[in-house]
Amino acid sequence: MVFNTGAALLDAIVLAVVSKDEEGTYGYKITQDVRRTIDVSESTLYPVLRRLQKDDCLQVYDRECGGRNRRYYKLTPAGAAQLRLYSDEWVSYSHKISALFSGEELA
Amino acid sequence: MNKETFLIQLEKMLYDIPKEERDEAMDYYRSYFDDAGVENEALVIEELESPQAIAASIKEGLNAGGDMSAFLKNPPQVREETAQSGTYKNGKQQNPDSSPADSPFGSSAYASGSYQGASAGAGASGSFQNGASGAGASGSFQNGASGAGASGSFQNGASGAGTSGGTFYRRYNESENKYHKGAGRTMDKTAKIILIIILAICTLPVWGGIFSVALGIAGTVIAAVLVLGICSVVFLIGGIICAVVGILRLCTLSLVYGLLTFGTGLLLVAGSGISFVLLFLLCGRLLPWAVRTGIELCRRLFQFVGRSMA
Repeated sequence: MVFNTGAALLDAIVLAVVSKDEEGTYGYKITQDVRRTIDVSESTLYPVLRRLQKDDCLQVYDRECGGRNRRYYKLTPAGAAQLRLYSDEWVSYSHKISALFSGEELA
Repeated sequence: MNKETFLIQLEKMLYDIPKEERDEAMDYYRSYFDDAGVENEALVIEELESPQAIAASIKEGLNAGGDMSAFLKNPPQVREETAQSGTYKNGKQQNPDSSPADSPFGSSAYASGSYQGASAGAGASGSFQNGASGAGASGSFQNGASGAGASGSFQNGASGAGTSGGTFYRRYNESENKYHKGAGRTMDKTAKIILIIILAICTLPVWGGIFSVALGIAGTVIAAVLVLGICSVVFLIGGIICAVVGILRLCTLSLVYGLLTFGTGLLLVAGSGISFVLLFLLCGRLLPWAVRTGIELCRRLFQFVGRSMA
């Protein structure tokens, strides 16, 4: 990938990935899902999850799975609101840049 | 490297972050391995790069999280300016057509409201008062083009009001968290200082004992150095004198006495050599090592105290 993924975009992608599972999802799966979209090293994802959790955008809970506890991440209402804002912002941002590239005049 | 050595190394690398954070991270990566399955273990280890890389990114994340203060400085200022410049009223009138801005920002006002309650008189609440009238502020972002320079990054055209509201919301949450944590931490810190002082007083006899032992060891070492130094000098001088006398005796043909004295002289020189080597080892190796160890020990102790205070 030529373009860097900034902190806000990474937050947005992680929130979006987590939001796909109503029931919540867990670290390994989040990593795999994020990596389907962008190339990111695994070591960068844990700090993002932890920060989003501290910012109250994600909530965690443990659920028994195969004889051990697995930690699940789930969007909070604040996280959902944040994701909406990110995606709105993304639409406007990407639209402007696409328009610039295609030589279209911005309204 | 396998999973266990990887995790053990990671835990070691994280020794200097709070226990809560360390446990959390260890849980996460342990689960990560478990979820990946034994068959993917080698692949996961490769993907994770190294325990060093993971530890570095965790620490970086923690530092970034704790360093939001610079990030936080802007919004209240912006708010103050918009409130002062009287765009507040315009904003309010225009607000009905910026309904998307209302929900996030409304809740923002809510959040800052609870913030005020939580830490009344924290100084910063003045700017939050302006913030509480959030609807006005978000409205003013529509006029944003003419707005204060500081709000530059928030002027985003049509969707601008909504987005900036959201950014604020997020930041307020952060600020709220931060202030809460801040208050807790100062409390914690005072308690810890008192605890440490009490502990220090209670363990005074122990410290006295340790100090005496250290003093004793130091005394012994100094005495040993002195004795060895004196021995090597005296033996050397004595040895040379004996050897010279022995040779003189040999010259006067007193064979037995001559050889005996000469031999004694050589033995004394050898003794001096041994003392000298011992002295060299003591001063050159043992002492620097002892000093280094002592300093390291003190450093760790202070670090530990410092960390438990932080």
